[in-house]
Amino acid sequence: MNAQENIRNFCIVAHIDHGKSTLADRMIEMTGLLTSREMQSQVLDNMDLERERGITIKSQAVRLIYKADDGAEYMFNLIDTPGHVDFNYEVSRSLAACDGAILVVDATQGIQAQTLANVYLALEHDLDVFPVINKIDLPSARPEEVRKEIEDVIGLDASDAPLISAKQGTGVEDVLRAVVERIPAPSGDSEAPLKALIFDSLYDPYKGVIVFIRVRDGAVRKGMKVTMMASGAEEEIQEVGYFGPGQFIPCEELSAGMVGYFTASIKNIQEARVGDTVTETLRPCGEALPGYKKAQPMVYCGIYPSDTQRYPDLKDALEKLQLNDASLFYEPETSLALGFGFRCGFLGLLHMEVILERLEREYDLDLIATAPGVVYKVYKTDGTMIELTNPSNLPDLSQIDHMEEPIVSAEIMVSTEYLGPIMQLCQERRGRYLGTDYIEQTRAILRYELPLNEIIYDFFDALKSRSRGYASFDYDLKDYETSKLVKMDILVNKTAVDALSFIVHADGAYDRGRRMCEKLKEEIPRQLFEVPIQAAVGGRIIARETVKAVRKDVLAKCYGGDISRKKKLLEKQKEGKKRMQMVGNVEIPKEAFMNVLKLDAGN
Amino acid sequence: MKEPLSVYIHIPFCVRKCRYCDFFSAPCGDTQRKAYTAALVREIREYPLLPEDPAYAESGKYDIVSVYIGGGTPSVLKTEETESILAAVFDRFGITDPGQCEITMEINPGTVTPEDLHALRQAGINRLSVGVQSFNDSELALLGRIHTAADACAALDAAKRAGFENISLDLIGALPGQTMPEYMYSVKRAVSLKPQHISVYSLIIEPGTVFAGMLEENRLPELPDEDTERQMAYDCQRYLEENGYRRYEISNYSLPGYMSRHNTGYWTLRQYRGFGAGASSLVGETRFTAAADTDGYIRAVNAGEKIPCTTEHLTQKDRMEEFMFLGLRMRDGVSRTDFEMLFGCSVDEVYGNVLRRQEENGLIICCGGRIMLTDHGTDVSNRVMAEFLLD
Repeated sequence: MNAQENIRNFCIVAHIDHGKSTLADRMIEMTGLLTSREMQSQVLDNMDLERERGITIKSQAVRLIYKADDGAEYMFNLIDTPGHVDFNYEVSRSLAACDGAILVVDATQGIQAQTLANVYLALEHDLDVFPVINKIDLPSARPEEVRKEIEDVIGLDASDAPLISAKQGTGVEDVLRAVVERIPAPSGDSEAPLKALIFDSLYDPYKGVIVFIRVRDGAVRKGMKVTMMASGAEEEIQEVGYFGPGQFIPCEELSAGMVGYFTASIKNIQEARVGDTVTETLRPCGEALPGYKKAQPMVYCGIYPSDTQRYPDLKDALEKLQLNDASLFYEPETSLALGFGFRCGFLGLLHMEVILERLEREYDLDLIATAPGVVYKVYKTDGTMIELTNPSNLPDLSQIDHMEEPIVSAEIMVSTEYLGPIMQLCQERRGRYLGTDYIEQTRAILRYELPLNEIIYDFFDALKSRSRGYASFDYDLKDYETSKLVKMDILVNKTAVDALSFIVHADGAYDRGRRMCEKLKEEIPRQLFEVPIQAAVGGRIIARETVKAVRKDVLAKCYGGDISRKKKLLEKQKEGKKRMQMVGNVEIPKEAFMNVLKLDAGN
Repeated sequence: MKEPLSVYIHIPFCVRKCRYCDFFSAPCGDTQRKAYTAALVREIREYPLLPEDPAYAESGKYDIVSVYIGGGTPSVLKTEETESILAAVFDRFGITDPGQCEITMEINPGTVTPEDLHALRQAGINRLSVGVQSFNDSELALLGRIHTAADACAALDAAKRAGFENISLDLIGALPGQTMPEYMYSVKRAVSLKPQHISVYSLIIEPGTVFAGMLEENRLPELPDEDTERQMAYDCQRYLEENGYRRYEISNYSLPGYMSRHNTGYWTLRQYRGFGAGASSLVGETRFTAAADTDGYIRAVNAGEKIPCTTEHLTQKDRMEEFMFLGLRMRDGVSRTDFEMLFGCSVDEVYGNVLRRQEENGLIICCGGRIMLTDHGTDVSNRVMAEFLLD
């Protein structure tokens, strides 16, 4: 059964919430590797955070054994991929290990922005894509319309797309059959020199880096000496194996077409980078596989431990996270307000939130995150250019010739009834209208060019609220453009707080400054003295709010029986102070640094 | 040398629960009141001062500074019940001359006759704390008090005629719907009755009270805003000081020589033993509070069992914290020498940084060997005191 023609390497792609993980669960269940009782729901999503958010962050793989109707056994390697636009890089890594993809489309929602993005990505990787239409059990399902949509909009043949309900298990058998029929067996020569692609990795404290590979040619087995072609590192393989559900299962060897892992006491992931090609040291292959598109961080923010003593712990945690997340970038930085921390780069805002939550939960850190920003190109009068990731590092105005900001091309899929509000939103965010494509009478794709800094924090929320949740959104970095940008400083009690500085377009500065001050006023609790909050551009104050002083905080009665109660009250008060960051002599709640940015949510 | 000790007696009864009241108190019947009094007398006469250490011997160990009968409304007790309680206290602690001791009872207008007052004075009570709260009848009605302003004046008058020369009067300000002139009217009427002591509180709506429910349902007249409330407190303080009353604690004013000896004990870590349901005690390094359960208390005492209570042992750190945050409630603050004598180290060793910072911020003053709150520090005293909690 290990015959190469009986192997199928595939993934499932879908818009968020269209049922990808549920379908994966069903397939695992129906191939008999697990009994229903053993199934935790959504086996593939084994991080707590993923389960809570219902999204897949870290791609995972599992090997299934499928017995076809004619009695032949097939080895399925199902590789789960994230659905969110932030994680395009992770998707691309997973896709490169596959030969085909199942496209899941929700029968009630039809094609959404990320459906398109993921399909295009799959086609770019030369994958054979076949569609399935999910959620047909829902009363609002309209499978035939969706079938037509898939054909018209994507151009895939959907005439025999299985109609399924992953939740109820309906039609999943058809999907398994289709995998055999429509996804090609891997090509590759088992006798040729080893050539395998690293598509993911996981750090294990006992085994070192666990390297996820797709073998293109040759075979890899225990004891073999291998070379990572890009890094040049040489290692001896200690274990090879495949992916059981939620576990690693060692085996003899992995040969051409197979997906699995190896360990080799690798302590430093720099030696086994995702995208690198593994070959046998003694019998190397001719040339490396084409590398992956390297992920560029799009969003940067400062991350600081709220207890300055824990800086080394934060450093350690970031190092560990980076083992599993090559797209995470970080470098040390210092803030006057927050002390020692790191400037971190992320693929997008969701990626940032996920990393922050993982740092806090998995490493028990209490963090302060500063305003997320994008990478600006600052051209100086001396002819040099710097890439600015931290607003505090903006050179003096006299040294700046001009600045450029990143622009994305965005596709927004929306019901035609919300076209107006969404276009208005894009206009407010300095969008440049490119065009509208109608998918059907009631739905259209709006195409815009938008500055990235206008969409990184709350655009998605605003989009959802203005379309009652019916808009979906995808974007791609296009290029950089010259723009009239200014640095806004926020002064709390007359002192500029570097962690709150941000870059903004000159036309929107007054409005942003005003709202920023209003929001900070809500966030900063009253202190024992009056606290002015000001927004300034180039030393000129453009907005001001005042946090009034506390006039009264006193317990009137305190006699024999009140003393314990009084002490608890004081302890609570003192505890509350711990959630505060002292900036100058003002106590600012730690979450304020993030919260002030969510200005427009609910608009 | 004998250790000073105060005695507190809790009477968890009242005629009717007031709408702002969150104390342990409820209306009672004759049977329950009698049973409670009997239990109280038995506890005072027979129970160890330290429940966890029945062998704790206190005979002759203590010098009783004060006795305080509080509630509730202790004046719902029949005179002979009060007498039996006092007799038990005198016997237990060997008090032969009650006149040497400050013996206070809380009374509410409308619950005592001139005859009652006379009898109480004879029984040894030498200080009264009268729950007047307001001199506006509409405010009294809103608070749920059972008396009128006229009743309060009559009670004070009768008390003086019964021979009481140390009378305190309670007022509550910042009442729902109250205006500045209405508040000052009560303050002025209080002063005109010439009590020796006045306690002034600002209303706090405590969870679980009738007022809290009314506030939630928007049925409460609007509460004075923070600025008005502060102005009320300032104007009250000025008026009282002009009339010879000195603010000696956050909420307490007195004529010279009439500070409450009993309450001052709470703010100076003096030991106290509370008897009755819900009463708190501080004996040695142990603070314990009997469960607020009247029937449970009666049952336990009748059976001769230990009275259910919560107990905490105060460490040196706890005591330092309490010494500071309780002591700072008093206008004269705390004494550096007292701190050193109690704890064997200087205040600066423990609180040097806190003191410096607070003084820079104008919240405390350190001078003449004492540490005290400024007026501003008093207004925001919770914030200041929280700083004295040690990590």
